[in-house]
Amino acid sequence: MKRMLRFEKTKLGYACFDNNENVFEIEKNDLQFDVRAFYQAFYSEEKDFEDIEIENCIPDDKDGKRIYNCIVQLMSRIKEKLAELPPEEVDDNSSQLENPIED
Amino acid sequence: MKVVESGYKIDLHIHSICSHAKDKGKVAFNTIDNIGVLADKLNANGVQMCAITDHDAFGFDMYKALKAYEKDEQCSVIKVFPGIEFTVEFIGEKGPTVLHVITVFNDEDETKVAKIADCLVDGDGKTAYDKSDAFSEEKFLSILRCIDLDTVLIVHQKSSLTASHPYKNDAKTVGEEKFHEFVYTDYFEAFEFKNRKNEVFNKNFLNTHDLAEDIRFITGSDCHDWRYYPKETENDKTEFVYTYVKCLPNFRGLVMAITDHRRLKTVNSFFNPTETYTKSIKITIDGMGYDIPLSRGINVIIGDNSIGKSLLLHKLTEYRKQQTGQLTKTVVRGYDKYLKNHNIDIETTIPATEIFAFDMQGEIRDKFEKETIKADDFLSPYYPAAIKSGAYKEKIQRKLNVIFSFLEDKFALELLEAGLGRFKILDEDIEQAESITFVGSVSKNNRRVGGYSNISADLSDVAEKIETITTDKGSVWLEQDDSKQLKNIIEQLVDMSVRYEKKKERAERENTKIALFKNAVSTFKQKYQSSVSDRQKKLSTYTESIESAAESIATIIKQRDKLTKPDFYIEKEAIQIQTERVHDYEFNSRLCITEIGEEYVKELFTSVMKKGTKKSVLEMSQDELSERLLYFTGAPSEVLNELKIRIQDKLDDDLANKFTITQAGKDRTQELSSGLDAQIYFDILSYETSHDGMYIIDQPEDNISQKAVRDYLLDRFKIMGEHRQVLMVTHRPQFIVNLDVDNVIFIGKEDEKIYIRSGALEYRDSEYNILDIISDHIEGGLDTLRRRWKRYEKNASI
Repeated sequence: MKRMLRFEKTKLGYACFDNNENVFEIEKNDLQFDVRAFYQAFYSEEKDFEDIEIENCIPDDKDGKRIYNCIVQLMSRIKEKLAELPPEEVDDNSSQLENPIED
Repeated sequence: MKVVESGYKIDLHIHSICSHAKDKGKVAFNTIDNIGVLADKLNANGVQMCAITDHDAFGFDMYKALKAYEKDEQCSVIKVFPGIEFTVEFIGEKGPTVLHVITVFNDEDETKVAKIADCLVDGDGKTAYDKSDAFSEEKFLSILRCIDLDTVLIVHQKSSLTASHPYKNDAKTVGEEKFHEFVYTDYFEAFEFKNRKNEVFNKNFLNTHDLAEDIRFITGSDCHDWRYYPKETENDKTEFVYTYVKCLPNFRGLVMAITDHRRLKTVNSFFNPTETYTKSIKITIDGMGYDIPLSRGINVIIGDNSIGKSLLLHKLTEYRKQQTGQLTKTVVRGYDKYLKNHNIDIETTIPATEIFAFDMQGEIRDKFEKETIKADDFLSPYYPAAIKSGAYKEKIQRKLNVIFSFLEDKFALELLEAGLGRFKILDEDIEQAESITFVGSVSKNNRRVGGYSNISADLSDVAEKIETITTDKGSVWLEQDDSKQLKNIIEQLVDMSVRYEKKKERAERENTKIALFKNAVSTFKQKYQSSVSDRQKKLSTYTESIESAAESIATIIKQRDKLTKPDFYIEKEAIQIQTERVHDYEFNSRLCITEIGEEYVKELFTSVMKKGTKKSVLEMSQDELSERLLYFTGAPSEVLNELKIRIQDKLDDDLANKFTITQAGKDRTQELSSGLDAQIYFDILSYETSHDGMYIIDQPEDNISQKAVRDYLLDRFKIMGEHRQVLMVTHRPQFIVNLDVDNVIFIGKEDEKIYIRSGALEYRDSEYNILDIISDHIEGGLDTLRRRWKRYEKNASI
């Protein structure tokens, strides 16, 4: 099921809300992106991260837009990387072993 | 004959015509003219000691007629005693009760024997009954006083002690109270039964009532018609069993045998007939030759201090204790000098192969107290082979490896999560085109290298293990086909191992290439960044941060997905305890645990955690584990290694083979750790039958408390005496008298001349009397003999 979040302005800066719960916030005074907090908000073990959509509720806010884009870009790259990461164990085949190619 | 060589078959209850007043026609055949029939029957049955015991009558001529056969070498009979079966009225709680008392007299004073019959009749020549066809107890005792000979009294107890309806004239008919009086005052030396079947019932009764030391049983044929001996009469259907006695064939010997239940048996098994034994000790002292006969049982050497008793043991064993350093050259020189000075030549030697063990003076104490011989040295031959715990360990280890691997990955993820940092979001719009990203997605794969390496090593280990099966000393039991098959498996395993070793090498080379690539990228990045604008650098850094964050998160997710939480389950398997029974001890070879399974694996982890830890280790973070691991004060990054070490130690301890000794369920191992326990030592020694040879011990009293001697040691020596020859030096009278030793060797000194006397306790001749020697020369010997005088002679002067 698609997880719908809302990106809104807050007192301190900008935040993503999941059913009115502030799950991830970036303060406007330093614009620091806390990757760990982001991971815990969106990708930690119990979270369903397969299909997330964040609705930008402040499209006209210039600073907000940059932050929103950053979040969306990161999520998109994660999705791409999850798709592109090769399987960790790539086994050699036995014919190679019988005729090993010296590197 | 000075020592007992075998048990003697006895029958002290035979009737003759002299019983006609009571038995009428039943004994009509048993006349003096027919005594040859009885002698033939006794000979045919191998009876060696016997007595005619008629009802309240004694036929001296009849007795003499049978006694004449003692000298007949063709006849088995070597001793005939005079005797009477008295009819005596005892007053018990059930009122007057008539019992039959077989009375056997000392045969040494023939003048008195000839007058026995005179004491049985009154002035008119009639039997002097003072009750109806019976003697009162008082009258009976007065007759015995009149006869004035040492006696052995045996009362009828034809029915078993457990029978609800005892036979007429049996001891138990007198009532429980009087019967107990008989037992505890040793009124009778023995109780007589006849039927073989009652032996088991009686023994059972004695054991359950703890009366084995107080009641002795012997059998008597009660034959009334010699033609049918050992049957009582022609129609007697009773299954008769003879009694054997271990004693010299004389009255003293008979008394000693009849007063010690260990000297009475229904099978002739007092000594081990297959055991090699030393028949005699040949010594010449100042020209006087002694050939001292040795018993197959217990031989005791006594004599004053420094008379040469220990010397005799060492010389007999050719000073072999020198080899172990227990006997010094100085002592040996002293011994030889003593022998020379007294002109003593000990000709006999006992070969090492004929000696089971020799505990010289103080040696056992040293073994216990100084632990010069570790308990294990003595006990190790009795333990079963150690249990091989390798297979159990492998099973547990495999599960532990899975758990540890999970924890390792889990903690690595935690670390990765903790390493997710921060970056600054751009505060201005910068053209994307100006940036170049330098985040490479290729990273080294050390896990793969480790994985291949482990597989290769494990395969190699298994191959080695199988190699051990096919080559070690147990391999002779391996079937040829199996051996061949195992060799094939080894080859395949070695091939596989080599293959994975090569994979490992390839992965290592790949890692080297990756490292080189990363290095090249890093160098290029440095070069690039030095030649772009600050805005481009800012954008580049930002893009790299996003890329890096994305990659880190994606990696975490991927690794997390691969992480599967294991369980603690392994198949339940019982670990058997191997046990060897020695006497009433169980020698066990065992592991500390008796079962492996899920609970045990859980317990491994619980045991190293702080008390009250409820959370499973699988749910713990690295920090939580650091907090909960018992006595752990190191850095959290070290906690997993510490956990592995602790668990490995516990596993090694639990699966280490342990040797224990249990006795009736009680673990005696702890007692051994503080020194070898004397009781176990003697228990094992006394029941050891797999090794032949004589047991030689010099003064066991030096090593063991009085209480221990009383409580168990005498019994142990008695048992040992039935299995093997024992040669003991002692100063303690209890060892001689209470042990009822089979042979006493006394070394004495008179006018500076050493002399030797020897014989069974009951032995005496015109020169000496063994009991007198004990009483005169052993400190406390007189007291001990006094306490037990009844066992030897009722009229003895001591």
